[in-house]
Amino acid sequence: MQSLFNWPQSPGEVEPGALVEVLGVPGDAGNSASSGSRYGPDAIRRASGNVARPLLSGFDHGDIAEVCGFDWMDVLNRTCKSVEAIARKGSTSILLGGDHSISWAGVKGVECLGPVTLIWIDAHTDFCAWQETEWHNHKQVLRRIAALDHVQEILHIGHRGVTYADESAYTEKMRLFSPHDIQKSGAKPVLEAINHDSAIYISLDIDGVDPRWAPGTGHPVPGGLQPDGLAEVLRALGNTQRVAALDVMEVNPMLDPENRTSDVAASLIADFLHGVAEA
Amino acid sequence: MQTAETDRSLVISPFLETEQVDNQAATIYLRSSGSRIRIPKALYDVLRRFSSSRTLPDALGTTSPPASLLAALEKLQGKGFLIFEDELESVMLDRLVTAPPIPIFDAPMQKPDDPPSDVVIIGFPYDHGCFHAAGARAGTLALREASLHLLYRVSSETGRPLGWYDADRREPMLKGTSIADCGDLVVDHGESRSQMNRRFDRLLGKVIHENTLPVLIGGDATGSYSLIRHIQKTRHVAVVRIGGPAGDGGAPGNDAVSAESLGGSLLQLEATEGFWSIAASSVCAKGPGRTHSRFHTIPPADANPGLLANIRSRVPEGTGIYLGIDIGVLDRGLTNDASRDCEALRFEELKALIVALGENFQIHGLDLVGMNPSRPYWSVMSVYALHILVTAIGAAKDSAGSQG
Repeated sequence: MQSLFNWPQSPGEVEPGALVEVLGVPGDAGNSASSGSRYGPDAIRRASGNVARPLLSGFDHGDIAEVCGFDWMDVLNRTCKSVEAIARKGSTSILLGGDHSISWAGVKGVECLGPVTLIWIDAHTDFCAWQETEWHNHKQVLRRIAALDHVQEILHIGHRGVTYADESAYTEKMRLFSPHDIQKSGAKPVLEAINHDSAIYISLDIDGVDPRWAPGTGHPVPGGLQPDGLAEVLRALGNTQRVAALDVMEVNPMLDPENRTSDVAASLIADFLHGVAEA
Repeated sequence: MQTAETDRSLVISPFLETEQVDNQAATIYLRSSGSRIRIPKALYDVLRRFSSSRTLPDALGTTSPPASLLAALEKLQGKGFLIFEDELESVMLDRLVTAPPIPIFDAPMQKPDDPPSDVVIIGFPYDHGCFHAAGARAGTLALREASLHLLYRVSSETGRPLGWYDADRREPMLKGTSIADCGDLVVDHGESRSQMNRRFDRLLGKVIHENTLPVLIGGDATGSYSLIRHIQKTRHVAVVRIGGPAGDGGAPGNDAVSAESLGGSLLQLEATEGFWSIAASSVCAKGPGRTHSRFHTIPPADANPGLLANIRSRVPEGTGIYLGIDIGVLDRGLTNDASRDCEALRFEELKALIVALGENFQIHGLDLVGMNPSRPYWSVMSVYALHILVTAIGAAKDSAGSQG
């Protein structure tokens, strides 16, 4: 298996003080619309070979074991434990998906760090009704996450398009930033909105990026974020040195014949890590 | 069956299907109407003698068949299982549409004689009117499948449609506007254009009512001519086409209309106030000095607000428009295909132009053509198409222009 940015994969190869630990979750059981994002972790790793390696030491754990054929919530619970273990060491997690329902596991996993500001980059609010069942899908995931006590605020970047209703006020915790807001003002409004006492979790659903650059995803929406504008936001967030985890979800290589989407995903991860390294 | 009719040839209906046969009986049904009956095996065997057209005496071997047999055959004829050969063409036109597996947005289906809805979606699964449109005939069904991302829902309290919300413009859309899908026009590939067009004209007459907004989804733009002519029975329109090929040469009558000749053919109709083509993929003008005076090409850079001013300056006040959109106008931006020799609009530009048209003119009819699931990135293009479709319907029904 090729690792992200060709980082070490064996425990013996880990450089002292590795700051970043990578984990793949190759599953898409939580996506009701399409399957294929299970191949996302591999595709992003392959694409990262074409990107300048960030000046940070990192370690790639590979993929969570026993995914396809296993209960989805069992997979998510194991992912949560793995992210928690990384967080307790003081490292930053990079979680590669897989469908966006996986992000619940990542956010839950950093609960041990205390209050969290969630940066949710997505074309959709993922706030469909959830009846407090033990499981959720990709359309309900943010509603379930918003119910977690340690999630103090949600800064949603990229919501747009034709929807069922005005989704701007689904929860008091959430504030929306449109692609136009980012194009006009860059990272500034997002940074100003962050509670300065909290850790940060960034969740990137690749459909937040405009389909002209990231067509390979299950539910694209026109009018999205441009990669360079989003890169600026990610770099600035990396600069804060407070990001506990970054997940990148919904890259679907089956819908991405020219690998444009996985290339963009790998580049955005690199931009974030450059921001961490620069600080 | 009247004795005088024994000289007329009979033939089994082309829509007859056999569901089940055993030693005792056979179950048969008509695809056109869904009628289904069970008949004795002996009668079924007689019916099969009319697989090719034959007169009664010829098929039965006698000029004096039993009265009970005659009565049974007359019953089958009354139900449409057996028809006179000289009525065959008319019967072929009886079946107007195929019902899709999924209606668009999962909205209600509208049968030809149902009460009208505010918006009716009509599928035209034909792609032989434009050389470059191969594969687009599958676009109508593919778009419907993609439309499940945007379900049509009705309020459980009022029973009125909930509409949608435009998160970009922060406005509700189509609240209270009923939408129905009447299915896809039956196209027997290889039949004459005139037969297909007659069927389409008959369908339009049944599903379009006074205040209905007809929305054609294609396929290519072949069906647009018939739809525009139908609208022009009650009003003049200016025709605006965004994307697709354009040309000002054309013959009168819809039997020979292609996507390229649509403009020219429409301009021969008195009720066409003008034809505006924006971001055409190719332009076949008759040539300098010969271009039709009411045929206008607008480059994408001038589309908004240049197009609006151009139309207003050339048509009588209060004239509405027919808006046709070829979704391929967005294609180049998605595929980054530099080999495609076409001017293109970005999604944001196209959306803004449609909204501006709706705010300034009443839109009396729409088409969205060129949806082609065999082209690269259909999963993305289908979503673009859905957003453009909903925006265009909203522009026609919600905007200031619609109040005019």
